[in-house]
Amino acid sequence: MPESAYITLVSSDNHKFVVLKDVASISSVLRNTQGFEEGKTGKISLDMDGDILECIVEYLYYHYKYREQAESGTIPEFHIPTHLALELLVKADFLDI
Amino acid sequence: MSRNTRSSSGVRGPNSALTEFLRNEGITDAFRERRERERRLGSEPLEEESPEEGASTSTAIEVSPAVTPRVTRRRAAATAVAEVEEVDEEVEEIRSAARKKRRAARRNRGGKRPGDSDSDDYNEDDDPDFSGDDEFGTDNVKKFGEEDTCVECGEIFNLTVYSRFLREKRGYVCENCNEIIKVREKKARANQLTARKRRKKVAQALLNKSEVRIPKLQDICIKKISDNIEDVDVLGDIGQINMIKLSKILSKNRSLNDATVSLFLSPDLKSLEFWDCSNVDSDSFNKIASYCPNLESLTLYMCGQLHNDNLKYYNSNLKNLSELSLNGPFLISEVMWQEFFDESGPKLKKFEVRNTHRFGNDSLISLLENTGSQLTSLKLSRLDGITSAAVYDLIPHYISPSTLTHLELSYPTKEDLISDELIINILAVSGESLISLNLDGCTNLTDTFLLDGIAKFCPNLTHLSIKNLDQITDKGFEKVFNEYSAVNSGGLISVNLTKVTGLGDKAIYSLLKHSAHTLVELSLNSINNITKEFLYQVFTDDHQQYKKKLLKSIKDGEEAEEGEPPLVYFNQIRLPLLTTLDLGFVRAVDDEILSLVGENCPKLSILEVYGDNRCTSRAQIRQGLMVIGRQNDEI
Repeated sequence: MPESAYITLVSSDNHKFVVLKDVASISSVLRNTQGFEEGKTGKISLDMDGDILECIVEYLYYHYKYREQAESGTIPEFHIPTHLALELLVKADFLDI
Repeated sequence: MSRNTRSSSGVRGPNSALTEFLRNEGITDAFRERRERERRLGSEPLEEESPEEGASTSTAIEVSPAVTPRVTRRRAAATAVAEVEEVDEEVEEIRSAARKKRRAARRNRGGKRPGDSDSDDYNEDDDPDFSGDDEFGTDNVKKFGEEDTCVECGEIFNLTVYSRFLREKRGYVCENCNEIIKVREKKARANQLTARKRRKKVAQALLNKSEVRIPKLQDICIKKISDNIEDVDVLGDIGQINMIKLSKILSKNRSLNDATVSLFLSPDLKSLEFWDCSNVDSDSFNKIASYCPNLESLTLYMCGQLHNDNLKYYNSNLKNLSELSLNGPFLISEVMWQEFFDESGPKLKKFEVRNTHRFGNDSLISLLENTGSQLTSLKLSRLDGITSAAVYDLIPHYISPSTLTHLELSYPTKEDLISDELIINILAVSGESLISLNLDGCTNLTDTFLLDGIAKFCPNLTHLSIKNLDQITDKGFEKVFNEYSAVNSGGLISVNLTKVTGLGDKAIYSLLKHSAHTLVELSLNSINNITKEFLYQVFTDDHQQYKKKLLKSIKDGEEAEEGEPPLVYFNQIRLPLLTTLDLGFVRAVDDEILSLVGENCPKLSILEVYGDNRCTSRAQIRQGLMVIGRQNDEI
């Protein structure tokens, strides 16, 4: 099976997000799963709700998109919904992002 | 000399840009007038030799640039007649040269288009001498309402009062082209604005010692939470690190108050630190003890509202408290301190108190009596209540041998409270275990404590801070660190020599030779005796031509030239671990040194150069190194 450039993130309530491997690799935790079972199946199950995971995927793409431009200081702010902030902090801590 | 009269009369004719400029700057030809007057009077040129005439002499030079500035005043007075004429001649020469130039420039532009004459009014200057020579008449002026050719697109259009005149193209543009130009200008302005904003952001980040980069999602969340902290009921399981981060951010924002403090309290907590408690009241301090009875370590800074009763409550509730750091607990009375030490003293292992005048002689005695023998960390700073040197002298009698690891005795209320003998006595007892020593602002200390204390008794010392010790000499310090390697072979990790102004090249060289391999933080702030020669040699390869030559000439016994400092040779020193370096107000540091420092300290990430005005934006700085404090860093 040829190596896919994409990987699927699955939330606890079964929302699936297909993201670029490069993007997922921003999180060291997701990067390190590749050596294990998840690396073969291309699927990573995460213990978080869909809306949280959505936020995280958005952030990962935001990070991916702007990391070249960070030096020049012209990146827009990343907005998160206030009511998710606490939970998101816990998950972000877990994913090391 | 028509110019002379013009400025005084109310009516002004056209005049040149130079005249206008000189008038705006308040530069007049009063000098010339006076000279003429004096010439007429003839007899008294002496007045001119008084020193205050100097200023007007120079203005005269500016008015008529042809006067050579070196002309002595006496001569100037004597030969005034001839010179005035000469000046006029030269001015005339300059003017005609300018005229020629302008004409040439116009020819290069490819002749004159019809309708251009307006530009003459603006562009060409209206020097009275010039107008006569203007070979271009004003016959071809387009009037408003007539048709004209657009200089941008070449279309014919109706000239109106609103038509825009392009100076560089010397003609009017049509309405359509004007719109395009307007849009372009708007964009340029917006670009300028964003560029300015970006520079501001970078400069701001520089001050915070952080680089502009993509923020971590955690930091975004923490910012969001701290913005809305009033609405948070409970933080939940966000992790200890994030908890500390959040509390630090709240402290920094000064939004740590009674409501937010309770978010951080939980029964299984072992250590707690709040860095700004100025808005936390007495009741909330009690809550800390009642919600977190298992606390072992408590840090409260700016705790001005910490009351006697609170400490009493901690005494009875915090049974495991072994580390206490308080900054600014000025409501705690001497009696209360004694009571606290009587009760909790035997458990305490680390104690730190700063900025209170109520921690007096008896408090310190009580602290030493009750906890002295098991203390591993003692930090006393800015305690104006301790007024007796005899009390400080008790410290070495109470601490037990080789237990103290951290010691700070800084900024005593009078400098003679802390003497060389005291420090030597303390080090003799506990020097062996000591890791960090901070003696900032004990200005009574001299080379003796370094020589007979640190150099003899401190094999494990890694952190040394001796700010403001101005009695320490270059020679003494050099000797200490040359000997020190026999005792302490490991090397120091952090050294702060801010404002130890007696030090110089040799002292720093001996320090670097001793600790180059371990140094992580180093501050040489305000040691202004450091020379560029030293910095250059220390950070330059030994095989470099210049250094080889120098070494040879020293070996050959060559003497330095008259008036030059003697030749000294320093080996190259690399600092493999150094990450922060403060070279503020070391005036010898310049662009060249900056780039050399970057090369020789591969891990260096923060370099402060405040007050080093030879450091400019032109310095070549390695990637990853942040240089803070250059004049051109704008905010």
